[in-house]
Amino acid sequence: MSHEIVDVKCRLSIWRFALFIILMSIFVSGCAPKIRLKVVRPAEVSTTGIQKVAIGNFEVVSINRVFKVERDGQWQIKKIGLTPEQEKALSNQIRARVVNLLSTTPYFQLVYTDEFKQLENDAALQKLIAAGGYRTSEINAVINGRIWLDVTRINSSEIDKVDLEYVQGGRENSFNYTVQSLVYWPYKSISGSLALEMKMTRLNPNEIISVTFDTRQASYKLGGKPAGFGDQIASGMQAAGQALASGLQDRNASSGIEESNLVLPNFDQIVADLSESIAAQFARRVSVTQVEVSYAIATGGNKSATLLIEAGAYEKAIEVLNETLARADEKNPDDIYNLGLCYEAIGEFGVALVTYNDAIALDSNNLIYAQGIGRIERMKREKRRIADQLTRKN
Amino acid sequence: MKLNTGFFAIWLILFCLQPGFTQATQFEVQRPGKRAISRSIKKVFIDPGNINDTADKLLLKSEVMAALKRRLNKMGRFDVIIGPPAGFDPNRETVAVIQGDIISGGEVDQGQLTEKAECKSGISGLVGAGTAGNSSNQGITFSRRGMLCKLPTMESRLVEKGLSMGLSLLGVQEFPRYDEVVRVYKYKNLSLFAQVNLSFTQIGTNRETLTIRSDAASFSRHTVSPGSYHNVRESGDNAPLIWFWFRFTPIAPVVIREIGVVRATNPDSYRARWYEKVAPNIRDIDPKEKKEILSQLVHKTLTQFIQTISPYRTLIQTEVASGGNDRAQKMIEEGQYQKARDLLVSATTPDDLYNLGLTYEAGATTIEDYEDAMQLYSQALAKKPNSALFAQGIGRMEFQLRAHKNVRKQAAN
Repeated sequence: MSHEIVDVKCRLSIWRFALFIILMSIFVSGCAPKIRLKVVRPAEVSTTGIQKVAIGNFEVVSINRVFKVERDGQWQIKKIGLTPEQEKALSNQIRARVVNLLSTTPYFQLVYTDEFKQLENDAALQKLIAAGGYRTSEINAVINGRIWLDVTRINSSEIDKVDLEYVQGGRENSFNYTVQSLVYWPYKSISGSLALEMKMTRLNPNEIISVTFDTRQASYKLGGKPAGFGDQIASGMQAAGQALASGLQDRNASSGIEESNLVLPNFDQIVADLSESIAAQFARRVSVTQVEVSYAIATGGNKSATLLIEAGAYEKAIEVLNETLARADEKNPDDIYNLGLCYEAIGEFGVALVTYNDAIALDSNNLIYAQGIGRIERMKREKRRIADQLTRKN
Repeated sequence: MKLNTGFFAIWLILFCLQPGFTQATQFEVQRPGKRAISRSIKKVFIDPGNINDTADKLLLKSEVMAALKRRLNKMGRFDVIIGPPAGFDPNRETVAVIQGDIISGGEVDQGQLTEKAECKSGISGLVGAGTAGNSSNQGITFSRRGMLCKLPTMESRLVEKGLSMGLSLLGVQEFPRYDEVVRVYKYKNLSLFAQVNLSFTQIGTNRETLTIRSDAASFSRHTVSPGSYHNVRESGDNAPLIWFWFRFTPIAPVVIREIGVVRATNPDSYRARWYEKVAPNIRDIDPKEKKEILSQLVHKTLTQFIQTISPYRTLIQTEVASGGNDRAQKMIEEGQYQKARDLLVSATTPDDLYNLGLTYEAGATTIEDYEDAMQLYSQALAKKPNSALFAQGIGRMEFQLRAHKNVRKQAAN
């Protein structure tokens, strides 16, 4: 009998140990050293030859601001209009967010001229371009936009039952019950929907290069019925994701200004957020952009070089790895791969490919070496498009 | 084979001793501007006539211009003047002008919300309510049975569980009374928003806009009135009736629908409308504090623009090597970089070499300082090749030197 108990205990310990090893493996693999690199991604449309871009007018097609109040099932709907000055300010606000994102891509030079901005709408702009009647001569293309905006605020209440528990207490298994009550849960919400059409028109020869129509929606709610278990998990995960994302941001980017998630954003804030999101999509479409990627570092090589790569000191790591490989009688393929990684990080893609090939020649079954070769080959395929787009500067 | 908490604790300690977990110090360092601006531009005009304030509901324009002038002048790169560009010959001198738009606004929202709270007797209930009240600034109400009611928070749950476990270990078994209540309360929300769109245009023999930025910042505060919390339904409301029912007719459920409706939570009910009119006891934001918040919003919206056109000071987080000269280490931690450099001038140990490099990095005024720092970090790493700290120093300097090279390349174009 006692032998059986010992056996069961031993088996339990083995299971616990196995579980520990599995958890540790997941943890360690998640923490495997990696480098983050910025690589260029070509534009989705060909913008060859376009270097100088002017930003035209962003025409407001429609704005709907609605305030809805519900009491006992009766809705009162109130429309809030904007003055022409407010509409103009809104158009400038959205235009500025687009300009902001395009100006951060180093491949366009934005030319700020009021000539195109002052045109009333797209038809007037296209007419001017077709007639060649513009004065600003050095511009290659013009971007203009059209705006549709809906913002709805709601003040209402949801009706939902709630379980209320009662325990008499004072002793074990005391009298207890649960009653259900029907409760009104007041809430306020704001939801916004922004549709933005953006057009890039090449001048001389005149052609429309890209027209994008994107919509973004956002909604926020304060109050209402208590979240169910599923919603709580979802919002918890969302909060954790946001916390992680903010943790990865640059220290200077965190403002330190008080913000509460129990406050609904105001109209201007919603417009700014939605327009930024659409502008990012447009920038990816028409401009060469940089994206951050994460690649694995081989861990079996020179420790000092690994530390340098992790720290982003690629040139020093190249120096250390070259010295190590020159001294070694038998070359370590991990050192060769890491050397290739450093060349890739500083943009020497040709040398990186040769180096990755050297590494895989020594260890043909290594997946990360093969991935290195795959990345460079893919880049070579895309390179023609990128080079084409980048040469417009010259 | 035996796994115990001791093993885990040792592993945790070892894990936390990794470099990423050791205590780092913050240093203020100077970085060059992100866009290459010609050295010939020394005078910058902030043109009030070309800063559009149509949508500036918070009247931030003067604060924006003053803060921009103050911060740019502080860095010493430009001489900033508020006014239209004047008093220069564009054929002989190149100046720059800052213009743009300011969009700002604020909203105050007041209202009433409903929540389900719990009330518990005993020491753990008392302490739990105190913890919840303290950690979430909510109002604590009393149930009819005299218990404190609160919306539980993670802290209050942990405290209650911990206390109950502690008491049961001491042999004290709690059988607390427990009620759940529906309660209403009042809140006041304040949100402020600012967006600043600025462009930097050079005016000389040619006129060219060198950069444009649009940055936004927001502030929001949710305030509740602890005194406005008010129980409108308790689970114990019909306890005697229910007890009586179960005593004689042990059949469930008891269906009395009208009793179950909590009318006081309906915003259209007489009671709720009356309650809505009762002025909430919520302190409005202090004018002095509001001024401070608006100043923070302006500061944030201008930061990226300033960093684009001018050198700027920023914080980096790194460690001071602890194995070398103690006095120099302390001086670096206190920001006395020049004094520490004098002390470390003949450094030979890797930690001292690294700290000497740190003095060059933190007090950098030219790109050569970064090159010196890089050299010293490399010397330190050569003596101690497995130091992640020294490798990070080299990484930082390589990044800065690469950025500088890019800026030079852009300027050449």
